[in-house]
Amino acid sequence: MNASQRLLLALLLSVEVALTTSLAFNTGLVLACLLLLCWQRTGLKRLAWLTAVTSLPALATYWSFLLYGQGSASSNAHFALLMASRLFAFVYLGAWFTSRVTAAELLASLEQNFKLSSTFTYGLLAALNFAPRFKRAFLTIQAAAYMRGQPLHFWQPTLYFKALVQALTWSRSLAMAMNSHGFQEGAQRSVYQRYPFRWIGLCWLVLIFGIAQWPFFYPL
Amino acid sequence: MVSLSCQGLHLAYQEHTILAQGDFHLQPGDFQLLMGPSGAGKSTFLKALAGLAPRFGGQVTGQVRLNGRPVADWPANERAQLLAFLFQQPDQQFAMPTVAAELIFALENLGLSAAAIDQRIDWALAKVAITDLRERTLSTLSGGELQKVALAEVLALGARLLLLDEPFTAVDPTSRASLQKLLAQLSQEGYGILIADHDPSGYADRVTAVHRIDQAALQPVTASDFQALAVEAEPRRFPLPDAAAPTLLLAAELTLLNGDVKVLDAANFTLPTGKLIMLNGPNGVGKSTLLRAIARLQPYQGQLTYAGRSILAYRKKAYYRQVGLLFQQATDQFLAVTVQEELDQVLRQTQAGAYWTQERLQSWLQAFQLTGLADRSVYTLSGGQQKKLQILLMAVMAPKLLLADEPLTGLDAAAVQQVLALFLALKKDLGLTILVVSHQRQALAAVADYQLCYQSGQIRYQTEGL
Repeated sequence: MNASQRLLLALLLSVEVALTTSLAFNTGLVLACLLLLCWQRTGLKRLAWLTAVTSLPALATYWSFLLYGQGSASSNAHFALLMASRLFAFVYLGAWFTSRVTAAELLASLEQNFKLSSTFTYGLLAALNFAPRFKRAFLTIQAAAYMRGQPLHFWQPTLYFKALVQALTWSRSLAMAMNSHGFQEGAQRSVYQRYPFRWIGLCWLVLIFGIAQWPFFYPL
Repeated sequence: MVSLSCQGLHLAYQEHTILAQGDFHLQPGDFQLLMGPSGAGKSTFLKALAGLAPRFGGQVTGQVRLNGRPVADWPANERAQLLAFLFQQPDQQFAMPTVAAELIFALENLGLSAAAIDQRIDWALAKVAITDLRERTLSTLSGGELQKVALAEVLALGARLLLLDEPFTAVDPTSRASLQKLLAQLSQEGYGILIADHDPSGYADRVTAVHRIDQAALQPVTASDFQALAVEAEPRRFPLPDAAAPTLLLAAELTLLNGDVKVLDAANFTLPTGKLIMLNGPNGVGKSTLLRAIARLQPYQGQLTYAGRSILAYRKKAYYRQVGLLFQQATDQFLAVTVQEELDQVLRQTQAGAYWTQERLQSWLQAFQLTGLADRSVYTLSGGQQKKLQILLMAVMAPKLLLADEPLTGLDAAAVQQVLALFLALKKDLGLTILVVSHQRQALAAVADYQLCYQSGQIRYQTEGL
């Protein structure tokens, strides 16, 4: 499946998870994603980390709906499990989606298939490429503040103000650089690497989404 | 034939007039050099010629014409095929992560087919002799390699007129020499080149014309004047520090990496207390990296000891009261919004409160010509004003060890003298130790006590200038 098709499928399934109250569906989805992730050799460490991070909010959600739900004890239990399973469904769906797609590929695919503006695409891509510098910039800001006898902690707005100033400086340099390299907003650009919408991908999408409609016929 | 020209150009930036009446012409076969003191406006002039000003800042009156048409009227994708601009800081001019991706991005802007793109990339990389860098990630390349990639990119776009803004600032001497040779060759092949540089070496027999921008005037420089500029003043002899003198900082078996390159390999040196020390070395060798390592912003191997303890053993709050770094970018030093807020903050926090009275601060503000700016936002000051304010703020904080990374950039001759006078006053009155990195060696050599020099992975005090 093409990256855009993957995104579309992930979004459709997420919306369905959010709108249905089928525990079996959620569980089925979680298991399917886990199987796919294992089959794609995602790595036990990553899976373990994903599960661990999701466990705490899932537990908190379950507990809160169990104790404070509006209905009878058993319906509360069912609803609590449903809510907790939704968390896992979203996380594993997201993991499946990001396991095979890079940001660059996704943005290029969206630009080609869904006519996403090239200014937005390349702006976002360039910003993502600057991400490795963020940590260094934060350390510089903190050091500068310490040198002035005024330590900046994460809860202080000045830290974010300085980060914003830095981001604006980078953004301006980048805009100048892209302009000087011939990037003209709105102009026709050619494409070096195509990410076409393959029919087979579309078939998979329709098939999977079709199968995912069973909770509406057999609600559980 | 492609040509770039301007007549009666008036340039201003943040209310300062950069150029009053500028006349200039660039055509294929030219190899022109633009010189001038730091902060005189070379960058702004080049950006105006490239069509990047006033669009990205600056006020421009008068027209710059590319092939007779105002440069601002050209769409970027058409202009890039004739005229190119190379930035001073190579790591801020790329949008994509790898060399190939960046070149593809640039050529996609022109609407070329995939086959044409491949062909142009192969040609451009071969032209600049960097074919082996094709699949490399840009963040792992050195300054010299990055500028070569930037050059390949503009050549691939097809530009015949090249404007280079101090391109060798972060470039090591070997890469600089090879780039200068390549540029001379390109101009002989019919490219038109204008390069802004404060260092006249390597241009003598290659340039077709030399200009100087100073005091809002653009003037030609004759061959004899240029010869005079190229001759360096007699270097001063420095003493070596006394082995018995008290030391503040000690480096033992210090190894520093700049990307993949080892800039220091098991180096040993000390910084004597209460002295002004000049740190010398070619561009791109890792001087800033050393300052950052001492300021705990860069990992290192080996030992760095401040006042008898490892620098990592101190708590950050306590360490940064003792050791201050003057960043290359003045805006990195600022915390508040207005000038007055910044000054109030340092007066409150300084440990040299008895020394830094309001009167003393006011007299230095006057010397630096920073009076009357109390309510201005620090981010709207000119480059020179920001630099002077940054230096003054850290001077008031008075850390025992002050590390200055290119503190004289963007300052005119008078301001340079004032800054050096301030450093001397800090050294004499407060006993601060100051370690300075600056490419303006002549000015600094006149006041420095000692000279620390980089030499093949080691760092030593030298008696003679390099």
